[in-house]
Amino acid sequence: MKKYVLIFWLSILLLYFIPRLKIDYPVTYSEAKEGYTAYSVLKSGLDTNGDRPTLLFKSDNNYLSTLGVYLRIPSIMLFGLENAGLRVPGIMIGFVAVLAFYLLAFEITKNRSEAYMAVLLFTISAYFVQINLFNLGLTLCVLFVLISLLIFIKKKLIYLWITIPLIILSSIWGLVFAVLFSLFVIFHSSGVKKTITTAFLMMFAFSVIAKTNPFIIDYIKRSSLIGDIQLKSYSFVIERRLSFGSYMNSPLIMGTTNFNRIAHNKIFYASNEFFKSLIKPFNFESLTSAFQSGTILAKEEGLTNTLPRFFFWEIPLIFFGLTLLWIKNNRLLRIYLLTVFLTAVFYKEEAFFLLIPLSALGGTYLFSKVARSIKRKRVKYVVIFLGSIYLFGIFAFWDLLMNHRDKWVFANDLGQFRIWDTLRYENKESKLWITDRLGEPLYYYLYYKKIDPKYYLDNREVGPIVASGIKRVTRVGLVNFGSFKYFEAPRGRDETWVGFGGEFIGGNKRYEEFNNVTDGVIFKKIKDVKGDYKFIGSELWFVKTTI
Amino acid sequence: MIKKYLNKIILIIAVTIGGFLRLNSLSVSPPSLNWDEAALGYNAYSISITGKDEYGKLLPVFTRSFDEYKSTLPIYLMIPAIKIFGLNEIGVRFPSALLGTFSILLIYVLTKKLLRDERIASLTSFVFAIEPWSVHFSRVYHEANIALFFLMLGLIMYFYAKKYPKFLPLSVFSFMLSMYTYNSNKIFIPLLLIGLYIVNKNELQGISRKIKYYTGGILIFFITVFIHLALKGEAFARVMSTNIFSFWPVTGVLKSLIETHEIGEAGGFLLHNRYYYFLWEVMGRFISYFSPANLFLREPQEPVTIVAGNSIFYPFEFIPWLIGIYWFVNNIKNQKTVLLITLLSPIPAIVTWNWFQPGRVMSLFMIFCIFIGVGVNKIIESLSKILKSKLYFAYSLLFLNSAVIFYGLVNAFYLYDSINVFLPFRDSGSYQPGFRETVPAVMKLSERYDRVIIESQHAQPYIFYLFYGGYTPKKYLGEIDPVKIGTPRKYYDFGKFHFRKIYWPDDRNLVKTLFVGNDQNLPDKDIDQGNNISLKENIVNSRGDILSKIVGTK
Repeated sequence: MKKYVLIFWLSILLLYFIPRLKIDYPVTYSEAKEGYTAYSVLKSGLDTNGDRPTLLFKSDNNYLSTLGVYLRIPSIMLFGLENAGLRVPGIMIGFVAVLAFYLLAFEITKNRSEAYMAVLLFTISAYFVQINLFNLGLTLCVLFVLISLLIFIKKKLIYLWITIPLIILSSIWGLVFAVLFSLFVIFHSSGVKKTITTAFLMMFAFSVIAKTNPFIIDYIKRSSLIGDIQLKSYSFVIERRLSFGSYMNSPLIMGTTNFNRIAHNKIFYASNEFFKSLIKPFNFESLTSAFQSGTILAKEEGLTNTLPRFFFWEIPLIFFGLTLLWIKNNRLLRIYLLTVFLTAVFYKEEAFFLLIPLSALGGTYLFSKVARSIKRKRVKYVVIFLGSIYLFGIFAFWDLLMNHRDKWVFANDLGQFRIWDTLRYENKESKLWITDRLGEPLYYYLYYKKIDPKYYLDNREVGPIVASGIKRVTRVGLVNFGSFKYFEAPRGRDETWVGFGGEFIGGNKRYEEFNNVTDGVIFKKIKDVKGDYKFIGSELWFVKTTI
Repeated sequence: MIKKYLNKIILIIAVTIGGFLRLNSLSVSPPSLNWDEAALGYNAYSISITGKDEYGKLLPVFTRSFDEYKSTLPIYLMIPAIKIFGLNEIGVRFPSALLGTFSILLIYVLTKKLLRDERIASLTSFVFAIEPWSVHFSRVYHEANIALFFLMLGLIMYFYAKKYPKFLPLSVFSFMLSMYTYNSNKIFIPLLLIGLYIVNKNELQGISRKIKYYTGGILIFFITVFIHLALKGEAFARVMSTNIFSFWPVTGVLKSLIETHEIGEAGGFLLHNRYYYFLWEVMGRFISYFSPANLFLREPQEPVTIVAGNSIFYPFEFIPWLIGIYWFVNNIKNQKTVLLITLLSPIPAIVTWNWFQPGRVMSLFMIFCIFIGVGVNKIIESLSKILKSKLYFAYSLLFLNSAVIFYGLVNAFYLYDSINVFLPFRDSGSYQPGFRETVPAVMKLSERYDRVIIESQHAQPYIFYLFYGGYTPKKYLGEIDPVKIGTPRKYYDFGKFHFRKIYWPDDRNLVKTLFVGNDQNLPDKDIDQGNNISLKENIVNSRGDILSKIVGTK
C-alpha cells in the first residue's frame, strides 16, 4: 500500500512540476509591478511611491498583493529581478496548496481514494497552473482559503483571525470572500448577534482604512459590481439609445405621450446590469475554449486568445459536481459555494479562481457517484474513456502553454517584452518616447531595464490625475510614456521613438510600405501587434531621429 | 377573486403582449426582407398561381431555391397570407408571427402536461411570450419557428395519447411536419422519436393494434419519402454543406498549432491529437448552448438571429433558469422527456460550422423557458412564504406575481423599442436593404428600355427583383433556361434583367439600357453631361444615404 502511495505522490510531483518548469514567458503587468516594488523595497527600503512599506502597496491605478510583494523579496534577492525571482515563489506555494488541499479533501470525503482523486484533479487544473505561474497573489489566496476551510472543519475558529487577514493581504479579489466567509462562519457558530457585531466591526475597520487610503474606495468601485450599477453610469447610454428614435420614429412616442422612459431609465438599466453581473462569472467560452470560439468572443476585448482555464469537458462535470456538493448538505461546502458565488458576482470573472478547489471536489464526487451507480464491469470503460480525455487534455494544454505562447500571451505583455528586448542596449542618456497604445509601459520599463529604484524615485515625473484618483508617471529621466503624434511633435537629435505606424505618419495608411519618417529612420518594425486601435495599424515602429 | 383567476390572467396577458410583439409592424422591422424570406415568399406566390416553384417543379416537397433545398411547408403556409395581404413583408411574415403567437398557448398546455402545475405553466407562457428569441424568430420568417410549433403540438398530442391513444398518429404526423420543416429537426426529430419510444416503451404497449398501424403507416410514409428525397440530394442538401465534418481530420485551430512546430508522429499523437481537438470543437459547441453568457449576455453572431441590444434571453431570467435547472436535476427521474429534449436538441447544431447558432436549438430554448417558469415560481413561492410568515402580508402571492409581470413587461417594452428602433437603425445591413425601394422604381423604368443591368453588393439579387417586382411566375418560368442555369446555379438572368458587374468603360456604350448600381460603378462625372447618359433616380433611405443609383442610356 505504501508503495502505491509513494508512486501516487511522485506522480503528483511530476504532474505538478512539468508544466511549471518553463517560466520564461513575458511578464504580466501585475507581475512587473509587484516584482519591481519588491525590488524597490529590497534595494531602497521604499516602495515605488517613495513610502516606507506597510500593509498596502498602492500602484498607479490599483493596489498590489501585499504578500505578493513581500514574498518575492527573498526570491529576487536570490535570483535577481528575473522571471525566476518573480515566479518561483508562486510555484512553490502552489505545491503547498496541493498538500493543504489533500488534507481538506480527506477531511471532507473521509475517503483516501477520493482525496487522491481530488488532489489529482486539483494538480492538473489548467487554471491552477496559470495562477501558480503568473499570479502569486491568487495562489496565496487559494492556499489561505484552503487553510481557513481546514480550520473551520477542525473547529479551531480562533485561527481564522490569522488566515482571514492573510487572504485579504494576498489579493484584493479575496477581500469579499474573506468578509463573507467570516460572517457566515460566525453566523454558523455564534448566531445572529455576533454576526451583526462582527459586521459592524469590519465596517468600522474598513472605514478607518478607507479614511487613510481614500483611493481604495474608488479602486473597489472600479473593479467590482458597484462600479457597474451606479446610476450615473447610464446617462450617456440612455441618451444615445434614445437618440436613435429621431432617425427611426420611435413607436413609443404616441402623440404627446412619450413611453420611452419606461424602458430607458436608470433604474431599469442598473437592475439589468446587476443581473448581468450575476452571469459574467459563467462565461464558458473564455474559461474553456477561447481558441475555438474565436468568432463569438471576437467582440470581447482581450479574450480571443486566452489560454483555457478549465478543460472543456470539465464544465458539465463541474456543474453536476457542484450540484452534488450542494445536495450533499455539508454546511462547510454550502458556505464555501455560496461565498464563492457571491464573490464572483461582486468581482466578476476575476474571482473565479476560488472555484478551483471546488471544481476538483465536485469532479471527484461526480466520478465516485458514476462509479458507484454503474455496473462494475463498465467502470473500467468509463475510467478508460475519461482517463484518455484527461490525458490528451493535459498534453494539449501543456503543448499550448509551453509551445504556443503567441496564441495566448496577452498582446500588451508580448508587445512590451518585444519593445524592451529591442531596446535592451539603449542608453539612458538619449531621449526615448514609448507609446502607451500597447498598455501602460512604465512598470515593464522598470522591470525589463532593471532601473535603480533610487534613480526612478528621483527622476520620475507624475502627471495630473486622469480619473478616480489615478495618477500616471509620464516620464522617468529621459524616457517618456504616452501616445504621440510624431509628425507634429518637437523632435530632437538622436532620439528614439517607439509607437504604432499611425502615430508617426497619421491614421489609416499602408504602413508596410514605409521605411522612413520625417527626420527619422525606422530601424525596426514589429508586425502583427494586436493593439486596440485599428486605425493606427498593427506595426510597431522603432524610429531613430536623424536631425 | 383575482387570486382564483390569476393563472388565467397571466395567460391572457402573455398571449396579448406576445401577440402584439409578434404581429405589430411586421413591415417596419426587420427593416426589409432577407433573401431567404424573399425566396420563400416568391415561391409561395409562384406555387399559388402556377402550382410550381421558381424552377418549375410541381408542388415540391423541398424547393431548390439557392441550391440548399428549402423546406416547402413554410411556403405552403404562406400562400393564404400572401393572398390576403399581397406579396409584401406582411404577407410573408404573418404566418410565422401567427404561429409564434399560438405557440404561447401551446407552451402553456405543454408545461401543464409535463409538470401538472398551472401556475408554472402560465408563468412559462408569459416568459415565452416576451423572450427576445421567440419574438424575433416569429417576426423574421424563419422555418425554425414553424418547426417548433409543430414540435410542441406533437409533444402535446403525444402526452394526450397516453390517455387517449388516438392522438398518437396525430402526434407522429405533427412530428413529421416538424421534421420536414427545418434542417435541424431532420436530425433531432428521429432521435427524439427513438428516445421517446425507449423511455415510454411500457406505456405504449397498451395501445391498440389499429392505432399502432396508423402511427406506423404515417411514420413509414414520411420516412420513406424523406429517404427518397435525401438520396436525390434534396433533404440533406443544406446539412451536407454546413456540417462540421468538412473540418475532419484537422480543425483550423489544430492546423495552426501543427504549422508552428513539428513533433513527429508520436509527439503529434500526444500533443496534437486530432481526435481530441475535434472532440473539443464538438463538445465546445455543445456546451456553448448552455453557456449563460451566450444565453443571457451576448448578442448572437449570426446576423438575422440578432435583436440589436438583446441576447437570447433577458438577464433577469438567469437566476430563475439556474433554479429551474437545479429543480430539473433533482427531479430528473420524473422528467425523462425534458432530459431527452435537453440532451438531443443541440446535436444537430453541434455538428455544423457555427459555434453558436440559436435558430438551430429552439427546442432547447423552449425547455429553458420551462426552467425559467419553474424558477420564477419557486422564487415567488419562497418569497411569498417569507412575506406571509414574517410580515403577515395576505396578498403576497398576488403582489409578487404582479411584480414579476411588471418587470417582465418593462423588459418587453425594451424589446419592443429594440425591434422597432434599434434593430432597423443598427442592423438594416443584415437584411439586404434597398431592394424594396429600388425594385419598383426599376420595374417602372424598365418598360422603356431594352435591357436592365443590375450590379448589387448583396447575394441573390434576382430573387428580390422577382419578389418586389411582383414578376409574373408564368412569365418567369417561360424566360429561364434550366440548362443554362446549371447546377449549382450560376446564371440568374431572366427577361431583360441581367445580373452582373457593371464595367463602365464598355457598358456606357450600350444603348437603351438601364443600369442599377452605385457611385463607384456609375460615376457622377459621366452622367447628364450632355451625352446620352442620364440619372433616372437616386434611391435613398430615411437617413439620406444613397441605396442605389438608376442610370439610363438612350
